[in-house]
Amino acid sequence: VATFEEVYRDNVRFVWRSVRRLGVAESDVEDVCQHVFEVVHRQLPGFRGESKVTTWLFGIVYRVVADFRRSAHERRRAQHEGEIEIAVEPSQEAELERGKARAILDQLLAQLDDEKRATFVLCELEGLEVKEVAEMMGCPVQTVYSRLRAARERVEAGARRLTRGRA
Amino acid sequence: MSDDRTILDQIIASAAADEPSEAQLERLEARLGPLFLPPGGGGASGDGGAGAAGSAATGGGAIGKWLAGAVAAATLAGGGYVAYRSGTRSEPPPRPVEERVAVTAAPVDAAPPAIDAAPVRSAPPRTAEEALAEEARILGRAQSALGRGDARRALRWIDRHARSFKSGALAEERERLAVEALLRLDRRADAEARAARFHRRYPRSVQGPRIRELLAR
Repeated sequence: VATFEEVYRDNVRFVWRSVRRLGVAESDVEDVCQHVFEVVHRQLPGFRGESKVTTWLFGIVYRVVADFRRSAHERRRAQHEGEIEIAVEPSQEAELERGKARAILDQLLAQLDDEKRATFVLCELEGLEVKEVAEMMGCPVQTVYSRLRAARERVEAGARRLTRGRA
Repeated sequence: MSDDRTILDQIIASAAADEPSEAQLERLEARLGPLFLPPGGGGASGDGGAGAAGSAATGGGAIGKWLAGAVAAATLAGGGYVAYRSGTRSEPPPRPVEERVAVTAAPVDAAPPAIDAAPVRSAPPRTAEEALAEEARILGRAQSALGRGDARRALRWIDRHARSFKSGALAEERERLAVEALLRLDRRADAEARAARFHRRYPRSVQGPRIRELLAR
């Protein structure tokens, strides 16, 4: 069984990315990660390795992020962020600046519900296999496929709207 | 349409920026400091932050500080805990995913080096061209992970390529990347074994000399 330090060292980047991609603003990622690892530390003695560490860990990340986002504070912030409109000039289309692209990605992900968002994040951004994602999400492979398909459609449609609807 | 794809590629590739910086990791480690102490081991307390002096490749810094003085840093040594990858075999998807995202490799002219976050396709490629594009995409991710110094992640992509395209058109390139990644992870014996298998299997490969060169460094 892994020690806390090993779990931390092997997974901190994965946790950090996941927290960010599941919808936590950049400025809050550190706080949320801290909370995740506090929970990990508390629960590690009870983890018997029935699942992979990442599967177990992602379950914690998912819950902590959901709690965080539900908090009133975060709701206010999210509303605020929702008001920001990002325009993409046609002339810039070929070379979106990285920062702007990342902000758009936030907007696109924000239109997904939690489950689709997590599926998209794990499959598309994290590059995990569908089977593995099914384990992490505790659902059948088939469900992952359909969530992934739906999420992709929304993201693609959203991207088209954002980058084009300005005309 | 290809414009749309390029843009979507870039949007998705921007997720590569989600990695924490070394400074952020140091701060987080400092905040978690006391948790790194082994149970029962007292001693260190305080803010633990400050010295950004010599944190090793992946944030050994603050952890090291907390451990120092408490218990010997045995666990720090080799990162022996091999994370999570067991060789799960990907099953063919029950039906093809209609919507294809970003089949092509990252655009050449538009900069982002972060191929790593390009979309993953869950449906198997249908034509030889698609297969090659998919192979290139997966290995491109491995390559870019290596470029960032993340050999462990590179190996995951390499394994993935090996599972999906065992004898694919880019299998030789994959093996060279594998040797390189293993060396970076200080797994020299594994790298040599893999190289030996490579030379047996592809005695005349153009990758052969490059692999020998890697091992000779």
